[in-house]
Amino acid sequence: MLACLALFVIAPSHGWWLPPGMSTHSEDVDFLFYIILYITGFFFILTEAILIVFMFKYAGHPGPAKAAPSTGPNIFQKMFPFLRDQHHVEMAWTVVPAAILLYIAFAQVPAWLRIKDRSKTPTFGGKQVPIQLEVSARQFEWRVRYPSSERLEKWMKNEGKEDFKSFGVFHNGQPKYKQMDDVPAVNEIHLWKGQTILVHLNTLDVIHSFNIPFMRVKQDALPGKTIPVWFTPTHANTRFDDKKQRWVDGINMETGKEDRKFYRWEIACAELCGWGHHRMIGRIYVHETQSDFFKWLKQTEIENLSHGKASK
Amino acid sequence: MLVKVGHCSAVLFLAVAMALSLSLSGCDSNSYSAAIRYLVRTDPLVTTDKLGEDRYNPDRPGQLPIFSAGDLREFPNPFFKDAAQEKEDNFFAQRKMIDPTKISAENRKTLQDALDEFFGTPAEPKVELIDTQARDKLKLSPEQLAKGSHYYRIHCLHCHGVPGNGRGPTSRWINPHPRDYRQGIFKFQSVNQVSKKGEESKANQKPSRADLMRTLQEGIEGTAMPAFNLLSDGDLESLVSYVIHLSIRGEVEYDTIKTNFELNKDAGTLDLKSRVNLKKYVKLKTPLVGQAWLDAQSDPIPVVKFPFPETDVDKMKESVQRGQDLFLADVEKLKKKKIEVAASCVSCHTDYGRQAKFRFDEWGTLVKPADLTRGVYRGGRRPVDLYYRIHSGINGSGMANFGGTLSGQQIWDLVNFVRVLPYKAMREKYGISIN
Repeated sequence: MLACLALFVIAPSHGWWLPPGMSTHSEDVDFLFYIILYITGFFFILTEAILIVFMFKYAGHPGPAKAAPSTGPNIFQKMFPFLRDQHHVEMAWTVVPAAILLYIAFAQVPAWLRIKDRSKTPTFGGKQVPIQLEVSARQFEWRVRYPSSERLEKWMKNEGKEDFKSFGVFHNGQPKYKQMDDVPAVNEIHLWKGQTILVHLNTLDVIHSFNIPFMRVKQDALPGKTIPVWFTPTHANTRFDDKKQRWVDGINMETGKEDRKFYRWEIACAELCGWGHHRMIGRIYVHETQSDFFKWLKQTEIENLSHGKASK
Repeated sequence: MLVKVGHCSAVLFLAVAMALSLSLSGCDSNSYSAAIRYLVRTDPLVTTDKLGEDRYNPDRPGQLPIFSAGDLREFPNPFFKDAAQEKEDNFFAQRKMIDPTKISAENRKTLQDALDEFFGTPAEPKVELIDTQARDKLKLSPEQLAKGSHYYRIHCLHCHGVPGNGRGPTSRWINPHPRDYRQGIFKFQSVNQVSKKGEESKANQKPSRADLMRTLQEGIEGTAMPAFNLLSDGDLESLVSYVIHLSIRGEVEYDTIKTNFELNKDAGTLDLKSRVNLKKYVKLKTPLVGQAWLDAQSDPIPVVKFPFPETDVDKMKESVQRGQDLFLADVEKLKKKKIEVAASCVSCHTDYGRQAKFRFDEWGTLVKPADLTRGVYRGGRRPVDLYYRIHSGINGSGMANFGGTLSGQQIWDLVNFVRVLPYKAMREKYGISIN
């Protein structure tokens, strides 16, 4: 018990705790997480402490049944002689938890509204046009489909509303209007700092769960359904490595130093989906600026449209 | 009872139980035990891709048709009808399949010892008998293979099996079934399969290391092979080496059994042909297989330059329409345009693949010509990947190579058509219809 308490105190300073939030969702989610942790933690310690104190205090005591034999007719009243007809105690242990639960129920409404409610799905007409992409979960990988850079640039300039909408149309959990110039990627999602991303999440086989702890995102992917997920990263973690000639993540872009522990952001599957569940991992690459992102997208696009090196 | 033995023994008992359960659950060093060996195969060798008629249904989940000779006569097996209708073991009598369990114990031991000597064990894999140059170029050093074996056990074993037989525990539940490396045939590669006149046949050439690497990094879309792009390049390179090791070992074993044994129809046993020394045969065969792998590393498919700028819509339109004519092999139309050869893709990809039938491949499993309207390409979706597939075919699957009959320009026409095919808006833009 004491060891557990000590661990509880030590853990955050050692990084064995909820990872630092890197998206706009983290404020809401962390508030709820901590409020529930504090309430349950307080009562857990209180009740356990009382239990332990009483264990020592009443050790060897003959017990209420022998101390004061009940005269009541009912066997339960004989077993628990001290708990009869005490309505004020019953009121207390009903009303207090009910009030706490009611508080939690109301406190989570705004968070739910901002993070999950479909009416708040970022759209074309909103404050900021989101970049949208499709993520297909599959045993055991995340397949990602981006629109082409040309179309994405158009959307950013508030053009091509119909095209934007058709990207998000799904039939039986599969995209209805795939385009020839869509850009495929596996296990990696790229975006840039401060940009809202709208993910159309679906699955090709069983139930998976799209979980990015650093972004405070967790959403089950259900067969036959396409579910919108959105978030806005507030920090960047990716830069171009000239030596390796590719984009590397795990960089704290504010200090420019490598920090894999807090700046390598994984997409983990959070729903046991088969033998390879543990290795169903993707990564989130958040670029510092929009132009960095487009550099990556255009490079990927060129690779995907490769006509090969002509040998004649 | 624990109360009686006292606290000290109880703690001891619990500690032992915990240690035992941890070790039994597989919490060990993640490497093969030295006692594990590659055993001589017991599942039938398939020698042809004509094992039965084409059909509309694949084998059912939970079933891999050719696990053992006995399996063939069990009910939902796709071979059930064929095997039951023929009173005798037709497949085996005609040498369409060879059942290695009929080899005598003595011969089996000789073969086992020879293979063990030259290929080692899963814990200490090696490839002997091939020359140093080939070993360097194919990166088959014992250190590299040991590293590969370590990662293979973690990431690949449960589908592809210990000897690379494609019969790991999960293989039954996956369709298409995982690849069996032991015939030395690989589907998706960029190595030339088309020989010129007067040259040696290049049928079923091996893939290059880069091809295997690409498959590992990208996965195979539309199958259960996932992408492993989060492993480092060095780890993946070692896996490629280990796969080549398994493939060479498997092919030598396959070829030795196929060439040196005859079915004794009276006794039903597989007898060694007279004057054959199994060990000598293994010694002769291994360098040849190694050489074939080495040759394949420097024989890429010749790619003709893409004939027009990619942004030229009018030329693209013409090209796509030419591609469709080639695909459908419409003789009249082709004559008008003075084109003589026809690829006739439609004879297998019926209705652009939407009504294609399953057929047997060289591994004895059921495969289907791709449904090209879906836009899922197992061998990769880059235009150059599609060029490779049409030029050199898909080994083992029945997809022929057209590099010898079609010109480079015609292949590009087909590639353009196939790329446009799945998308309605694109079909309208380039003026083709598939209804």
